Amino acid sequence: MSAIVRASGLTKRYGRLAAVDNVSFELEEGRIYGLLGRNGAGKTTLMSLLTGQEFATSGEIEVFGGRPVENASVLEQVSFIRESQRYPDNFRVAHVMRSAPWFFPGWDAAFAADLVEAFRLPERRPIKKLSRGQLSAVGVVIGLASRAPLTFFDEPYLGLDAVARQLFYDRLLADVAEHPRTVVLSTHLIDEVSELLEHVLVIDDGRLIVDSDAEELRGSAVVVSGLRSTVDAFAAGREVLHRDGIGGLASATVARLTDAERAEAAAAGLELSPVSLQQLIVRLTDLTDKDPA
Amino acid sequence: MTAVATSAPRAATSPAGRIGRAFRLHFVNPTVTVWMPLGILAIIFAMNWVIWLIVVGAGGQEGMTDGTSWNGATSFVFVYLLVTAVQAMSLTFQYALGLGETRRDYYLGTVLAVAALAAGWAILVGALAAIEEATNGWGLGGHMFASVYFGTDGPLPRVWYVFLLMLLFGALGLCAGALFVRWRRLGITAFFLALAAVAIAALAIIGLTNGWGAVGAFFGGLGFAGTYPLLLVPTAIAGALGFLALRGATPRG
Repeated sequence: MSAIVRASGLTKRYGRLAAVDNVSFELEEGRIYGLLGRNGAGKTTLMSLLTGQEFATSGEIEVFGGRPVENASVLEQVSFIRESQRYPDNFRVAHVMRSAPWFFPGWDAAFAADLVEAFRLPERRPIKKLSRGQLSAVGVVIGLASRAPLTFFDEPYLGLDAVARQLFYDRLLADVAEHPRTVVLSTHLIDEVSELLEHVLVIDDGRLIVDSDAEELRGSAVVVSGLRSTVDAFAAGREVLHRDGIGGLASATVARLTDAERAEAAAAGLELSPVSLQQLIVRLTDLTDKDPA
Repeated sequence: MTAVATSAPRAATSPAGRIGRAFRLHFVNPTVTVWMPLGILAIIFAMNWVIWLIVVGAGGQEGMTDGTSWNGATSFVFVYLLVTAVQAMSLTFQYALGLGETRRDYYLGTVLAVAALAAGWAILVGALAAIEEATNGWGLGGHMFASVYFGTDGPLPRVWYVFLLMLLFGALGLCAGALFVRWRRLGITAFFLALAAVAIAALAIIGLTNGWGAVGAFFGGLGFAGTYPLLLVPTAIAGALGFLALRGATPRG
């Protein structure tokens, strides 16, 4: 595994607002990443910086060994259809499907045609008249069919119905298995994609607050529930991410437990359950809001 | 990590291919760039012809040639090329950037697309002017394409002059389009204000120094063949300014 993206000290300011604030990370070849965070956290800005569409205020970016800005050899290995991607106003879906392939050396026309049919995209319909879900599907088709070695999906689920979401999920997994590449899924709908993700980056208020293997992150906390007094006693002295309770019952999300600690909890009559990625991230971003570092 | 590989990997698509795809982007749906202006030109021509018919019907062909030789109807195609260039850039820039085109390749492809349109229009106007002369002004002594602005040096020089003037309007459009993409409405407003300021300043300087005679003599000495190529200077300046503006443009605008 080698790093195909390296960012260090990456910062983008708009006036006094730091949309991306001193972010450093690497992306490795052939993995599926989740770029997670709330609306306006800086996800799209970060991807725009990595694809040379925005200019960094400071910091370094290296993508496939070069700087992305105005670098054709880097850019044609990257696909990033932003959620708010603008298409020419007078284009129909067919015009997009005719012109997009010129920009990606790895474009698979048969795959694209297959996807257009599967997503039921009306080829003769003007782009302007598409529903939000259909517009997302156009971006998904370009992202998948481009077979770019580094593919970003920006909020791919926006407006997609359940069938289309499942379709995207299945096609992405099948195609990545056959044609390995690095995929970054940017979304605030964490539960929808959490099963896909191998590595998670969480950005909040422009800062990178989590850069972790997905499995490791899921194991990094556990929910302990039972009688309030027992839970309180167990949680005392531990890092508690979240507390909940009704009447005499309570639950607490605590940091990773060792096997001995798990046994201790079980002996005290407490129940242990895993935390979903979504809950974990909600709590982590919640914490940073309350306690700005 | 600042050590960028000394042997930077070559792009799979050649520079010509990258510029070519930006060029083709403007013709994927040729409604705005080709069919609309052709349609409008046809309507303008038809309206002119009907008016000539009425005039000739009322008073005969006497005076038609003099009366219509200053026809400004074709000025539409020049202004329209400017508008087309602005529209083409505002329509496709974000799309091209989203597909991973560099701003440089996009601009070069767009410049070529505008130059091709200028050439196409020059040939069309030149051909129609030749027909106009051969048919004695479409049978009515009218003038629309063979107007006095492009001289009497013959059909081929006329195509050349029309092309040069077209190119200037196209370059002004590219510059305005790039300013629009970079700074939105503010950019394009500033462009037209600056253009008006330059024109007024030139007129003021000539007028205040009583220079009209000298200007007339200068261009008179050059003739059409010497004057039209001078348009390449403002054309090149506008084109270069457009590139400078576009180089810093982002999808946010």
